[in-house]
Amino acid sequence: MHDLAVNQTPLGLVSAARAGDREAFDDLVGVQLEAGYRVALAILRDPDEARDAVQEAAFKAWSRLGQLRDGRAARPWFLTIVANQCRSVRRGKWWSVVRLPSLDRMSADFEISSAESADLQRGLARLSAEDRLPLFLHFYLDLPLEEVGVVLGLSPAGAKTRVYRAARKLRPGLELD
Amino acid sequence: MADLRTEIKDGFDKEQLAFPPPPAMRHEIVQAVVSGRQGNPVDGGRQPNLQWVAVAAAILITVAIVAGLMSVRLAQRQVPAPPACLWFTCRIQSTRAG
Repeated sequence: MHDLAVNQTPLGLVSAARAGDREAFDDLVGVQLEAGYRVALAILRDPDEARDAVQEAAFKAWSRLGQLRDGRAARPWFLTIVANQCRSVRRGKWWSVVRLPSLDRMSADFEISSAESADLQRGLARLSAEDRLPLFLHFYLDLPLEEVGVVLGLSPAGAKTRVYRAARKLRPGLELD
Repeated sequence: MADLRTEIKDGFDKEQLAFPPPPAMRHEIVQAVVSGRQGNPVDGGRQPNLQWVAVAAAILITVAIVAGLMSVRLAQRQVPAPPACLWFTCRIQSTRAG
């Protein structure tokens, strides 16, 4: 198993995956599917839509394996495809009524221990998908700012700004360190 | 900032715990993708994108409506009959005669 999170992708693995090697594709993309599902769930807030988005992203990843030939890291590359797929799904629902059923179900599933964490939980729920994504990538998945930038299509400095801007919406007095 | 990081992580954790990844998701998706690429479409795989059909239908309907409106307008247009005698031509004729 290769460490594809931060290291460059081995070119032999890419070639094998493109040739139809199931194990190679599993090593390249399969290991990223759980993170992809979590990103999709954070954006779409619906488990069924998240799974569909990840599956569609996996198909697109296969067709774009050639992009990894320059040795770019597989994790931010795949999460970028997932994030774009989720944006496409959200755009496709522009005519539908805004509803947050999954959040209601989520709220019922866990107990909020304190008023402060309840505020933060509500704040997270109110954030837009574009604000939740950088926070999720950086704070939940522990992606470095360089990889957050790749997923968001920004420089590391731009990604840092986006992370702190979203964090300030949860804690208005937050200072950039 | 460290506290906020922990709080945000906990907040997302509570959301994620409610809907963990399906157990067989990795195996199923990898299998579906690899099988699909080898020419064996798998149920539940990619759905055909029919958005272009909807766009084409919308364009055709729009063109049909505009063409229909224009044809009705052209058909109902009344061409004015040529006047038997314009004022100034009548005046010239009367001057010459008179």
